Amino acid sequence: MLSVRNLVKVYPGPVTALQGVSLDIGTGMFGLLGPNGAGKSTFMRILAGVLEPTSGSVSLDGRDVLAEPEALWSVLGYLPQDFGFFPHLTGQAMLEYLLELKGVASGKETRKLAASLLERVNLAYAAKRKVKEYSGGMRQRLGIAQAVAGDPRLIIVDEPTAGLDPEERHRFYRILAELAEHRTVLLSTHIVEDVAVLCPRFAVIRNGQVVAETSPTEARRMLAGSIFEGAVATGDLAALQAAKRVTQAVLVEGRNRVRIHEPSREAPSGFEPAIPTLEDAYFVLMHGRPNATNGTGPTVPSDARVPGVTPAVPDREVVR
Amino acid sequence: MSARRLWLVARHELAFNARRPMFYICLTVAGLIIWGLSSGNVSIIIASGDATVGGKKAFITSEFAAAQILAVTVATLMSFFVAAAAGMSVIRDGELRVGELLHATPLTPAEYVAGKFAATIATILGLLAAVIALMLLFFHAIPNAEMADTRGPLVLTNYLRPAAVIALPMLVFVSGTAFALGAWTRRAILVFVLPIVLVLAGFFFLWSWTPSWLDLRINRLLMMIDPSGVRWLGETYLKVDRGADYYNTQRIGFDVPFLLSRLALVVVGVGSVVIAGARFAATLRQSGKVKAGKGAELDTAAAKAPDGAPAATLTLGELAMHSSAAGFWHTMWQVARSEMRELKSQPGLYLFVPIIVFQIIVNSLSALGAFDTPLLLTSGTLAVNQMQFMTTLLSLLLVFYAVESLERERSTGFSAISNALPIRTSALITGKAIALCAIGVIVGAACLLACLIALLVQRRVGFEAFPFVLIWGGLVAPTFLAWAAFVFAAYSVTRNRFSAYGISLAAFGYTAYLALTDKLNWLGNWPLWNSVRWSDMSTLQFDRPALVLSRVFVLGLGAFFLWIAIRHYPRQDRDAIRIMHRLRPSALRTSLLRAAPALLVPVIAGGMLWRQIEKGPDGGPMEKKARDYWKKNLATWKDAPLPALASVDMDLGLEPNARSWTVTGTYVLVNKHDQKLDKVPVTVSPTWHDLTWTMNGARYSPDTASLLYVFTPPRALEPGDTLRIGFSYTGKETGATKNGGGAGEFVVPSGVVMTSFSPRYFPTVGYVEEIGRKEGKNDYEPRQYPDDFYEGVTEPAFGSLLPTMTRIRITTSPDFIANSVGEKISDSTSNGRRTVVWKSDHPVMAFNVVAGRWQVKRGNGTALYYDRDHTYNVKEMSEALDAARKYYSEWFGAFPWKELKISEFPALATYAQGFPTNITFSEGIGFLTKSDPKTNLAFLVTAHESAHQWWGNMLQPGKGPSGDILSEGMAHFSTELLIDQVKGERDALEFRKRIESRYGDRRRADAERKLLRLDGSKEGDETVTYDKSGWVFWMLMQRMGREATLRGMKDLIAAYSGNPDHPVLHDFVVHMRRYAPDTASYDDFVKQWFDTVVVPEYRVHDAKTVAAPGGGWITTAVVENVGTGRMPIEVAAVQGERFPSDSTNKAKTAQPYQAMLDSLTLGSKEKGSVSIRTSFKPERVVVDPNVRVLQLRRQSAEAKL
Repeated sequence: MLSVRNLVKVYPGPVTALQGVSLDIGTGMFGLLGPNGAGKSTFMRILAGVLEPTSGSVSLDGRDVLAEPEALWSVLGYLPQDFGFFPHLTGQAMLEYLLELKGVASGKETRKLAASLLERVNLAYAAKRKVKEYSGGMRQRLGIAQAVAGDPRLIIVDEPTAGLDPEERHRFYRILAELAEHRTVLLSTHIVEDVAVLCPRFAVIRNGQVVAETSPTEARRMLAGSIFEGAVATGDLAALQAAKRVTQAVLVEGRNRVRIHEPSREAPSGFEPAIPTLEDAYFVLMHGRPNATNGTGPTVPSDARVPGVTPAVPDREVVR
Repeated sequence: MSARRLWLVARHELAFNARRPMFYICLTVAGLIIWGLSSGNVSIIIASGDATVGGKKAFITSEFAAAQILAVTVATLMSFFVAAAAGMSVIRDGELRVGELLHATPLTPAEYVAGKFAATIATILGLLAAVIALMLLFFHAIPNAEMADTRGPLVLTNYLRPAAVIALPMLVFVSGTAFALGAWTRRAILVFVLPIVLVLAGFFFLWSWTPSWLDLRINRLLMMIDPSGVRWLGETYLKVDRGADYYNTQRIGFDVPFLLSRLALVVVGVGSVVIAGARFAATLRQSGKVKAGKGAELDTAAAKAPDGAPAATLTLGELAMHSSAAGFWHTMWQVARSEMRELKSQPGLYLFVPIIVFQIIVNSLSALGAFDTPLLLTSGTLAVNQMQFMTTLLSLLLVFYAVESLERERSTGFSAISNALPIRTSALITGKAIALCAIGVIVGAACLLACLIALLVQRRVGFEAFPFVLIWGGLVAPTFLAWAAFVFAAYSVTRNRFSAYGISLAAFGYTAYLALTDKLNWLGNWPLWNSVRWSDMSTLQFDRPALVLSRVFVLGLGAFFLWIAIRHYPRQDRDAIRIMHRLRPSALRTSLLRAAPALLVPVIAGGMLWRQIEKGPDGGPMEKKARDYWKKNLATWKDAPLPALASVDMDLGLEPNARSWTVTGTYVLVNKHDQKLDKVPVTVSPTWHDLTWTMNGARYSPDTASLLYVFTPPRALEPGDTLRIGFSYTGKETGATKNGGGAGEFVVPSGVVMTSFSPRYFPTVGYVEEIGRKEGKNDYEPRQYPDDFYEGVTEPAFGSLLPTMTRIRITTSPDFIANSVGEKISDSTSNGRRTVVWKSDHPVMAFNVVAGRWQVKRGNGTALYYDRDHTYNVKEMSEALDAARKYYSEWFGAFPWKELKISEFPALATYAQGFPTNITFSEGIGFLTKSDPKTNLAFLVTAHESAHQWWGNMLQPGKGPSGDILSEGMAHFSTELLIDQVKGERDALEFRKRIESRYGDRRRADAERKLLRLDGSKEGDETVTYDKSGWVFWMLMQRMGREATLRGMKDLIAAYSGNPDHPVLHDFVVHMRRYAPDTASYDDFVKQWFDTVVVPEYRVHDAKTVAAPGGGWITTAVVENVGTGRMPIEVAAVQGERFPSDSTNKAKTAQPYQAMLDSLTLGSKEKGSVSIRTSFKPERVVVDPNVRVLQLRRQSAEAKL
């Protein structure tokens, strides 16, 4: 069990990146969903032991990992959002180096294992090529290979599917799913599909706070009967967004297909009921407050008791 | 090209540069140097002027001084910072990954490169302006009474002209090439190659290698290729002193070739940027060359990537992986391997190796010893001589390699992963340190190779590995390790690559400053600069405990810095608020306690080392005793009349292994004055114990005033009365010197040198002025003697008042030979002790004791005692000794003693001393001189020292101005005669040219005084005493005739041997006049060369030759004396080389030497014409072809036809 309590991170500025985040994460896949700048990477880096928090605690199976990051690193597989490799090494050599440092293998075993891992991430054909010649996607795959190497009890992956084509993304999903059967995998992403496909539970983070912690099923169920879909002209979209909570708006054959959340469960004119998706739930969870521009529109109190949704830590002022 | 975009890039880059701590560190260091110059603490400026009180001083504010300051500061300090800033500019954008963003805009590569370089230039100008502002501030605005007479008026162009011509081109060159290297290769290390190479090449070669025999054309070439301008400035204006007046008032005349070379530097710098920019533009949107194999298809990722998931791939579970924290050693080895792999791909080291090899070979083969004689290289001397080069090179290299190694993870982005790996930071750091050791090994191997080549080229001495292992492995390696740890710590604490550069370079520069100002001691001297001397006879025996403790201390400090580096390595981004908490006193206390184990070794070793220094001759207690001696006794005893030493009877027990000695002896003193003497002072050494005295056989307790004992006989000594003073004591060398470097007298396990010239080992009658005097604190200028000081009885300049009879009995271990003055009466060994008795067979003016393990080569009434491994020049020295005894006896009077000896001692000091019958030679003089038939250097030094038996012993010069000339000047003159006698005219001519050149290089135009008033107190006096005086005596002999001169000199020695009156140059001049065939000519010569300061300098103008009607050739020329003095001079029309030095074949085909002479007499600034008719076609006109007249810049006194 990975337990996080009241994690706060204030950067010089001051900029408060985390405002007292608390979570309990058990075995299996757990997603952390939020927009850019929400504090996901800060949270992940603190958990990975490469960033010191301002206050708070993190424990893994009862062991304080902030005080002893070395103990965490030996059971950690980490894929950061932004990383690089030594450009003059080949992919094989780079991975072997990492395997040796992680204590996964040594000697001849290292070479075999590295080859297998590269095969697994579809990089075997480029094993002998220097890393500086890799594309962004190839580097990402190499990063995945090193993250899953060994037998990490905790895997932290931060925006892992960036740079991957759809086929590679699905291949990666399978790898993660396989890993998550017996260990904790923490996935941070702003792509809702990643969470929908992989995570039985997830948390939504916004402005350094966890605003909700639920499962995709629960999140969709909470919106049952309150999502409606219709088509509007482009000129009417802005007025609709001002009047209603629009969860999605996509162009289809030149017209805007929009989905709205109507808490009253009454279909507005021109709209028909739709099956809620995780994107809908994400939007509703993210925008619980009234629209700041006009003060109108439905609100969801920050600690709203949505059935099936574990309440988040209430907003509070961070002492600056 | 868009000027706006260019400006945007430049502005951004400039703003970035302005925020860099590195530049402020550079400015701070520059400011400290300038402050040091302004306050007199640092001296890198013109060696001119008169340093005495009221003497004319060279201004620190002159254009020449400003040029020198800027040239050296730019080359040694600013070039590093500028190279870093310029070279890393493009690399940085790559690391920050902003390159792609920038180049996906309308910004063209040309605008990008030009903008960045423009900002670099602007930064350079800003830095230069700041340095000039600092100079103006410290030299003009901030008052300093002590240095007031070195400050001239504020003339802005004094700073601006050198800045524009000397400093700016070098900075543009360095920044341009560094920028190009960085943009082209994207390798940070290469960026720093250039300034390191320039500093090393400058310090160890370009700025200092100026032997007198160097071809003018090569010299000019070296001046042009030296980008710093230091060589040009030195050779053109500073080497031959022009006087403070000149430097204070004149402008630097930048000649056209120099200006062109400066322009070339700018062109190369800017051109490098242009070329690099073109390449940058060409490769920006390409991924590099596509390598097509033999008809193979292009190897693209798309072509190779499989269509779907590979079949039969193992699942992760089937891979059965498990992980555990890799152990310390395993991690360390993996990191080291990775780092070394990276080093292999770095071109920097491949460039350095040939540069190092070249530099060391050149340095070694051009190393000079005493009298500017080339050194004979041995493995030991090479190992120590190159130590300074190695530590400087390694220290500078390490700064950049170490920082880049630590920065590698961050700059590649790998740190995001590696910081979360289960590896210990200590293993990571240690692995990197081990990889850096590879650099040390490579550099060491290159140095070793170079030394081996140097020895092979020399072909005289074999290679031995032991000295290299000892010096480089035992002494340099700890420096390397500790310095690397320091750089690691600087990076870890600052977490910034450029701050780490700045701190490291500042620390290095500060140590260099301390070394230059002689403020280093063992504790601060981590690179061991100037503190180690090699002796084949005495391997690191002197100050050995201090040397060992110093290395332990340095290694301990290294361990402490490594601990800091590990503790603060940026494994984790720190939280700012938590950092504040960590600075609480309680938290700091805890940190200090944690650091305690790492501090234990350096604190203990440092404490022991400090204690060693305190116990030694430079320690606090000894310095206090010396100071008290000076305070208490100066006024009373400085000029007190003293009795003469009539005889010495002494038993000396030597224990070299224990560095101790026991003495029991008696001095018999006699009052040779016309007045009574009621007290007799005797000075002793503070290292003696159990000192007891007797007076006239009875136990006596003299009054003591610090180290001076005052004997009061019951009845005052009347003229002619004697007094017997007996003494007994033990002595032991304790502690260590302040900073090593050897000593002139010593007792070490491999050798002993003791003299009666100082009270270190034997009591000295009288007050010793040198004890307790400190330059800058309580020193004073020498006494100004009245014009007639030499009339009446003149006391001797050194040695006893009258020659003394000695009997010295020495006991020591049987493997030692102990030599002293006089004749060996007995030599026996019993009960494990060797006893030898020396007795003077003729009175001596001083005595010494030298002991060592020697071989002996005997000649005709001579003996050479030498180390068994130093046989290289023994034959030549023995022949010189025999010749000296024979011919000097013939010319100057019979040698009165039985045997003339030379005894070799370990090179803990580099000197030779002509004690009567027992000349001591440091192994670095004569024995390890690179002598060859052309230069006869071993012969030369032996001849010079042997001459002191006559000029210095048989004739003891008088105390006062010009006395020393009768010793040293006459020794040089005698050497010239002997070389001429034994080796022939050619060698004598070469000798004269060599000492003439030495005089020209070292004289101080403002401070030089006439020979009759020379007292050795001013800078430049030494070369006048030795070189100029030797020449003057030789010219006098030309004027008077050989026979008359030698007769006069012989009679002079006979007249003053054993005489209570001791002669000075005035006596010589008066005496010799009686032997002059033409007294008018003699008087004229004496007036010019003894009673004024003259030195001619000749130039040839309008030299041409035409065929003469009726056959032959007529050569005409105008000769001008641009110097001073009026001398008859020969001018020759010359064909061929007089002494061809090439092979026989070449000599056969070369034109035979022919010369036709004309002569004229030219006074100062006078011109005269010559017309010479020859039967041969002359090639050139040469002034003074037979080297008969001392002159400056002889190489300029000829013209090609």
